Amino acid sequence: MPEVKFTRRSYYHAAQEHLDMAIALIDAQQYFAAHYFAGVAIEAILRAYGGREDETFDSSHSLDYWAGKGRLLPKGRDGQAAFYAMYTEANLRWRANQRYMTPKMLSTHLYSTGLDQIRGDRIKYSANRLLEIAAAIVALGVSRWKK
Amino acid sequence: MEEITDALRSRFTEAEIKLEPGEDGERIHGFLIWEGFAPLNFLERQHLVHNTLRDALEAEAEQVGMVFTYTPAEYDLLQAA
Repeated sequence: MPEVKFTRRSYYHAAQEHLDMAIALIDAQQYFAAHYFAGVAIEAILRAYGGREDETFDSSHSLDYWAGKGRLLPKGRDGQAAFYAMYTEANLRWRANQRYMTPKMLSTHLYSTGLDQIRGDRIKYSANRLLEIAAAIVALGVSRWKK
Repeated sequence: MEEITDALRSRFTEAEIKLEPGEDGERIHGFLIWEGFAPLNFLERQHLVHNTLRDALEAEAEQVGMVFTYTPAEYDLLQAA
């Protein structure tokens, strides 16, 4: 069986595919899964900019870790402030270990962040918000890819 | 890719279309820049693009991956970033 190789380019494509999946999951009202895939899209585009071609697979899933390694940062103070605001919000909403959480646990986590002063479905709200953030961060990565 | 561009151009008149071909089995992706996106939110824009491609291309629409949707002003900001 051929070995799957993770490259900067494969992360670049995976980020877009996972974003597309998150949209389809929102449309299907699968908000828990959409929330997870939107976060994975962000992690993937940060990996595309943070990894080296000769590296073996790095199993860290921390957005902080990959943002720190990466070179995906807008120019200018205003652009950087806006990026950090989006990134910080994503980092609060999304946890890689969400894949082991129940919806109730994710809802409790989201409540603990204090981000959303809402009644009702916290996961639905957060999934939509995280999708918008993921779209902005992945789009920045895609627009920069060949520059 | 020409069919995809034609389908988008027939619906999004005067749009700027920047598509990248898929390599190694990856899907086509890119940017669609159109003034008419202004009043629409992210998901509404995505639905408009998906529905346009599905209506025009049917199953072949699956060849298209993520198409990022921006107004010209938004795209200028992205390019400046």
